Amino acid sequence: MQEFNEKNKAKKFMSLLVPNQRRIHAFIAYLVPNRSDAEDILQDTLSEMWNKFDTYEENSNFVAWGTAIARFKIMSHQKRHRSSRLYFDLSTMDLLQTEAESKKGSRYLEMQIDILKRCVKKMSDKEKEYLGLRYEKRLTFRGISEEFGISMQGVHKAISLIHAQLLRCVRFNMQAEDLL
Amino acid sequence: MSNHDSFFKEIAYLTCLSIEGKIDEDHFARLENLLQTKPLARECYLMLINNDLCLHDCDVIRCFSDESLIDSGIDLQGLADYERIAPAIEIPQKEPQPELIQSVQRQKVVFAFSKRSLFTLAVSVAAILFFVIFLRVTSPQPGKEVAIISDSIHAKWANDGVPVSNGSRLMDNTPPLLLREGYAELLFDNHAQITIQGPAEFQILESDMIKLNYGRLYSVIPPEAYGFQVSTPHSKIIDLGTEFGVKQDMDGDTEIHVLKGKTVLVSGIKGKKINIELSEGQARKLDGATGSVRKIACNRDSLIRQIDSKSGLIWKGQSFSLADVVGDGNGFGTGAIDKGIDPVDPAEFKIFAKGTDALQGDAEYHPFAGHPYIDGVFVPNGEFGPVQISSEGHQFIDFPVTDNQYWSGIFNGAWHEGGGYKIPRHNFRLDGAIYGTISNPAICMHANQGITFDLNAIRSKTNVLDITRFTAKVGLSESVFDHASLRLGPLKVRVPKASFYVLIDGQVKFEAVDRGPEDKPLDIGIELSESDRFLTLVASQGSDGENTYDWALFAEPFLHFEMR
Repeated sequence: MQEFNEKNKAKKFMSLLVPNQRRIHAFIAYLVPNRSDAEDILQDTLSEMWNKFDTYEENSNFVAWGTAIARFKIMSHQKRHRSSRLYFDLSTMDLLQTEAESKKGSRYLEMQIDILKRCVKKMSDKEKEYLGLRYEKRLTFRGISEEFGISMQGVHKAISLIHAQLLRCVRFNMQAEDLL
Repeated sequence: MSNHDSFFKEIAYLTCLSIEGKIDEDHFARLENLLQTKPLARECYLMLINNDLCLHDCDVIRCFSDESLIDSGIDLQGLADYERIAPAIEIPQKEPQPELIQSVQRQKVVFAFSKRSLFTLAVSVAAILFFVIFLRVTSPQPGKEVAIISDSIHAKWANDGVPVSNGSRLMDNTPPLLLREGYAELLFDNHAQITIQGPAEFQILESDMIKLNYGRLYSVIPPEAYGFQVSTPHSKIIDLGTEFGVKQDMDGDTEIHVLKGKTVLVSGIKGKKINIELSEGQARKLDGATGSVRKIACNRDSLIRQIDSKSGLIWKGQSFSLADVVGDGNGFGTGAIDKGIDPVDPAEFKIFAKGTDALQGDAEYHPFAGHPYIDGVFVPNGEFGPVQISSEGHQFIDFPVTDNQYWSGIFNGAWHEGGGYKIPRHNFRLDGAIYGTISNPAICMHANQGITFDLNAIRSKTNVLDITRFTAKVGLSESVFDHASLRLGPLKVRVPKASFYVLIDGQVKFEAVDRGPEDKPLDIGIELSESDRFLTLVASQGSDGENTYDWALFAEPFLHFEMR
């Protein structure tokens, strides 16, 4: 019986988490832009959410509940790395959180993904190659620099210029669709 | 590049640095400052993070190459997530275990990039730290070539055993270089151009970062080198697409002057965090002792912006004086006052020390061999038809009929003396300003005289610069009214009139007819292109039929440059 309850609980947790994890991940990434740190914090957050799932009120806002736990995990992470000055202070995090909450929930994220796909399609072959090496094959900057025979700074510049282009394209299209 | 483009590039650059864990404190401070102060920065930043997450997790890259997946309705991400974190079927745990989820999740390949996972692989944290530090101390990363010394003038270096000359390749992560005197131009592989004025000590830290310990430098940063940094002992200047100069004193004070575009000044002395964006025309001085920053005037003329060893050019942004050329100078102040050319007998330069009587023109164009920048001189007179105005036969047909006379010559200066009323020597005046001096140069050109300059010859000597504009003021000197003998005599009968012309390759670009000494001077501003060759300046008598008292001058006749 207990095993059945556990399986049920797990199923319920997953049914709530799967469609919403991206938003919780995004929330953490906004406040902790370092990808590696954000993913560590996401793991801690998901663990804590599972641990505390009994306290979650059914039919309440799952994302709000998850991001509250995430915020707490971010603060703990910062305390452990107090000597590093590469964390946003509280006022910046509040501003970013307000900005993120002003977006219209999961529909906004999904529209952005669709628009992003269209924008990526418009990129040049070289730019797609860069993106493929970075995001599909998950090469490090060193790996890409060896693949193309350019410096790591050059790779960074190239990737950030591609992101600037994607930003321009996504933003333009979201404005056109009245999402901004 | 529009302002938005620059902004998007900057925010993308900083965000990508941060995502990859490569951001330093100064860049992070800059990012945080933008997020705190600009709502657009926050909007863009969130979008960039979302884009990065989606590219990382949402198979966006694969999707564009496999059309069938895009609209299939399959939630690939959901499936992947579920596989990653779903509890294993065989789990018989009585109580919920955190490890149930964590153990599956920690198999993610992303942990290969995590610093924490790196340390946890080691036998002990202390051993790894020691190993890393030991490696850094005993096996420093070899420098790689990132720049070249592309030019130098009178450069004397003081680096023992390190050959430094034109063409030397420079590496990053090497000891500082000391330029004892002279000038050196560095060209980085990303096309950033840095001109250093000795004495100066500098160090190339990375392919896009130079440190100035003391001395002066001027940087020209093209779009492909966006983000280039100049650091000093107490600050960092980050380029946002700009030209700027830096002066670093040995006592620690730093000056930054922004001549084009935008840059960011970052500093943190004595706990005073400075993060200021500076635009064109702005300058700041950072006090090395106190960390305070104050506004100063942007000095466009004190930094060496361009050198060219072939021509000996050392250019501080100053304009090119045609009056100086008429005085046998190089355009940058080597000419002599009162030196010039006789339009009928131009064998060589002359010194015009005294006034003359009226002299007769000969209706000929006289090429001048005494200076490469001066094509020739002439006395304009429309009586005989088209007037030749260049050595290549350009002509102008609309000069008025004149009495074919001129006075003195065409010279660097502006004065008159003598004549029938024995006027004492005095400098000309336009609207209260005295001309014909080093600080207020002028070409004295009593009607009827003309001079043609060869812009190609000037370009060949300043070949790293484009000539973009010609400016001057023209008029008849109001000093004619200072002399009672003239006021009560001939000026009662006739007020002098003269006409001014500026021609480019025979085409009139400026014309002012019948100007009198009572008229305010006129400003001339003519845009010049690469194809323009002959610039002709002419003063001729007006419709009053005489050239007496036509005390005409071209004041402040300058060519203006832009860096190529």
